Amino acid sequence: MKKIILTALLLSAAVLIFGQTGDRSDNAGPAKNVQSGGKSGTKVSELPPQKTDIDLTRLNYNMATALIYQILSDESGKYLGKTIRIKGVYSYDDTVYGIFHYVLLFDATACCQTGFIFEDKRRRYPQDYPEAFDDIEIVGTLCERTIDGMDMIYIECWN
Amino acid sequence: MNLIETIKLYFSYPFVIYALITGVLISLCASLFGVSLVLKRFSYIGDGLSHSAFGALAIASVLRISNSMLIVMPVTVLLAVLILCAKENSKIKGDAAVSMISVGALALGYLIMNIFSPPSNLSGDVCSTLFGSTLILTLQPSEVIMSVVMSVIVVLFFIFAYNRIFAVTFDEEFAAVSGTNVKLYKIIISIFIAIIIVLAMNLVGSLLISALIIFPTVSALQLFKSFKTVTIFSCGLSVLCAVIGIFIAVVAGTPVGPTIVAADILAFGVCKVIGVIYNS
Repeated sequence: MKKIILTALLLSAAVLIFGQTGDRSDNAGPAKNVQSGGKSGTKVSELPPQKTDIDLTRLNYNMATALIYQILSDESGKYLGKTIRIKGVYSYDDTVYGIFHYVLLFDATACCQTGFIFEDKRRRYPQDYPEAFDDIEIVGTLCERTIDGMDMIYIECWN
Repeated sequence: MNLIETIKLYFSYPFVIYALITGVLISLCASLFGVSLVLKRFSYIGDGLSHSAFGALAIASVLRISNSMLIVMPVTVLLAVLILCAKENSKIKGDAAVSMISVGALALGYLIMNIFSPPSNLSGDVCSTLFGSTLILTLQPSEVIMSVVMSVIVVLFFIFAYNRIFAVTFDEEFAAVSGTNVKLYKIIISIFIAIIIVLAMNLVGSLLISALIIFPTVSALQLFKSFKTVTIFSCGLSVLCAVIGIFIAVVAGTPVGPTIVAADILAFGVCKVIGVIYNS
């Protein structure tokens, strides 16, 4: 539950900051900025670049949202270390803990949104990142870290 | 990926099976008591109670209570008892009381959310709570078990108390004369209706719960006349519409609640046409 609250808190902050500006794109739309490639942790090093354990790009909004909820609410750790692919819109939030980057999925009415925080150690902010609400596709590994006593699941992009 | 592969992929996820199980049970329970509510002219109670549940949910969210059921369930049960057990000669009549609670709770709930900063991604929660967009796809096994247990209790109560529910529905005075504790039964029915409505919020959302209660019953009334056949047909129809609605919503990516209600509307249209043809 703490994971969901922290992630949701950060996501909602990002949406609140950028919710009034920019054109929102359909999460199923074509990706303008694709971040993928390479390999990271030992669990994914043998996988070919295009194959992932969880491919959210194959799911519609309902299913992707439900699966993201399952991942964020899971406390057994069974999703950690799994590789994931997700297509959505980019957003970020500058907090006291640092800059958080998000990939967000919006429903058809842009009423509800969900998504993941992601990190990419190859890139430097802001020059290597897209504009807020640009379409992006992320491929990486699900990882966990603790911020201010709360566990947070995020995607570490392959590098 | 073709349609068959998509269906296979989607239904391989446990949460889709959970949604189907819960949807079937909730729609069954809602239609069981829907017959009594519609015949007693209390069709609108679903809206009134679900809106009050929304108001309670808003309070629970602002107070940062992780298990919102601790507030939502008691508040909804209390209001259900107050509405259904209100005396006939009370100053505020049944329909007025339901309307007051409905709009009052909805307005206050939204007002509270706006005045006090919500602690989490509440805009999404509000959307799901009101329209049941994807809420039922996020159920955890413990919530499914709770729904199964509550549904079994509701169905067993209805089966064993069928004659008394029938009597209380049609003629309270006759039921009282024949030895039925009318007040007790009305309280029990109120509690069960509140439980069904709180559970149904996961399925179709606060704004659409009345559809689960009204449409199957009214559809059945187009074709049948006896209490028993109307109840049986409305239960079957409600379950069928829920299964079709969830299936379409999962595969096509449409919002779950509105898709189920659309199936109910279509079923009503079919029953109406058949009823007109049959009667003519």
